Amino acid sequence: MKRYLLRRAIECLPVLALVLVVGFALVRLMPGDPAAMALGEKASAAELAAERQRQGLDRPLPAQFAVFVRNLAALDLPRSRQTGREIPELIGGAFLVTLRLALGSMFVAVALGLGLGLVSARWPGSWLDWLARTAAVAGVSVPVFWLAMLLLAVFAVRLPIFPLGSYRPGDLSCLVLPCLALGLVYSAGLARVSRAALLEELTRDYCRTARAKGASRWGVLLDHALPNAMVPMVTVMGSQLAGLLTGAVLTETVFGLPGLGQLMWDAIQARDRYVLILALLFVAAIFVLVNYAVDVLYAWLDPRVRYA
Amino acid sequence: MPEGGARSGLSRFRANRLAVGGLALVAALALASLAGPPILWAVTPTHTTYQTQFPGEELSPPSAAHPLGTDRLGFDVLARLLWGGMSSLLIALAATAIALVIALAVGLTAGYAGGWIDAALMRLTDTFFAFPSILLAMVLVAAVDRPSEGGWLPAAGKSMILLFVALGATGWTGLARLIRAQVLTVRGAEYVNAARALGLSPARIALRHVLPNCLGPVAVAATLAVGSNLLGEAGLSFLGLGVVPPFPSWGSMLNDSRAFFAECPWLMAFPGLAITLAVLGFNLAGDGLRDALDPRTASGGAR
Repeated sequence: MKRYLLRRAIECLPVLALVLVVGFALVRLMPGDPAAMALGEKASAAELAAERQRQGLDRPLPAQFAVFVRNLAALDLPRSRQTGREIPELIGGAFLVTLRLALGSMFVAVALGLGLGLVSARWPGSWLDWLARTAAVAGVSVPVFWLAMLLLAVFAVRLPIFPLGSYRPGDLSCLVLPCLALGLVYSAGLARVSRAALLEELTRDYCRTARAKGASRWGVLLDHALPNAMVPMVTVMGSQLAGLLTGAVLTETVFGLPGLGQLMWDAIQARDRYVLILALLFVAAIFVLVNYAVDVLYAWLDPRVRYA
Repeated sequence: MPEGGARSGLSRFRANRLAVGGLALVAALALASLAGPPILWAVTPTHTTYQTQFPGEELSPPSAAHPLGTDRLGFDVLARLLWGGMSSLLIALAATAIALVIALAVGLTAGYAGGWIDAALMRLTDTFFAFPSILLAMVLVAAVDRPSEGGWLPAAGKSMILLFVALGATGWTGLARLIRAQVLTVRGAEYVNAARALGLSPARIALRHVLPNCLGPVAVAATLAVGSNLLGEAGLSFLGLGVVPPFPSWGSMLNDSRAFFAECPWLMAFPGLAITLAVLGFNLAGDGLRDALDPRTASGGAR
């Protein structure tokens, strides 16, 4: 297990390095001269040249990349153009909001997805199964921001149960609808996978043996099939995380939650390039780490993976 | 039930009512989006284009004259929905085509060449996989200046190209991994060894012998990818990064409806429904294709 952990960790390194290269390329690709942006429109040509030299823009690209990485490592970054605040502080604050949204949605998605999957696997072919599968395939197809708007229209406007807009830190009620919207969409994929995985396990010999020894249908399902069906489900949950983060961006803009998505969107509007790209790099780094964690979990659940 | 063979695959697909329904749904929406605008034009000359305004009828609810109501600028929602379908479907299909080309190049090369080439290409794939596709596409679209009029292509056309290139260039990683995995399972097969023994070039073996035998799962994944690209286009347009107005797309219609979502629910109901139905169609067709190609999953998915 230790060797596997180490091998996978080493495999993450080139990916993280390439992520940095992509981030650097994006900074360079963005339209506009950074020197002109720093000085404003009235700067003279000489001032511009001096600023370019100060920022290292006259040096070869590899050297610029080295400076970029060094500044990143030392957290020596320009302030946000739009708000004048430190970028790490901005990203950290926004991440906490997105994290709450993502965890809440994950909870909804797992509870609902697993529930639907268990119901389907307990009574396959029944009208309940049909209903659960229809809900699941419809859920995979709904745009999350549309569902978010529908929920807002019904549960904040028609029936004013939940607050409309304006995020207040500490007030969890403004997170209920966003988590519900995102969680409903992601429960659908999970329901499909858990149903398929559970049904597959139920056909195995050990489940038949357990039934023959007198275990109830629910007993076999929960005690025998479920633990083994967890392996594909964890994989799907991990791969859904990218979708969850993307969905969080769209959901945040509908509900006005000041998370990473809102931060990136504001940065696009204000052409705040460093905020935008650092937020993107941050998301990518989180994603690499989570994927690593999922692989570790996977190897822990299924020892065969370690020797593959 | 007879096992194997293309015929039984086709009959399995046909027997899957949901899959056929999905295909019909896709066909109906595509037909409506392509043929709808000219038909509307012929039937009611006042509905000529997506830009025909009806002064004094702004934000009117569905009625006989405007079956799906009108929007903030007095545009007929039905007309815009049909034109918008054209742009949404075109962008999703083109993005999938681009993603498929990249994925085929990367996946085939990595899987067939193996060794350090495989390792390098897969780390590259991991890197792009680490950026959530739509977020990266969002940054790419935002990095380029908003398309303007001028040149041989209208701004709407330029923004469409930008959209499907961004979606395609960021959405290929899953497909590439799948293709590589398929190639790895086929690579050691006897007919591939035979082709190698005959002295065929690696490119010819990869394209003529390995590729055709990997196509089944790839076709399934590509069908599902069209659905997710539709959602991607809608998401980017919803963020205001979509097709340049006044040309409509389903996502930008939803974006326009945001300010009125409480008072004028028809503005958001119909584009959202259209997106959902189209994605549903592609998902059902993809699932059906999977069951048809792999009878093992069909037994698990018995109706």
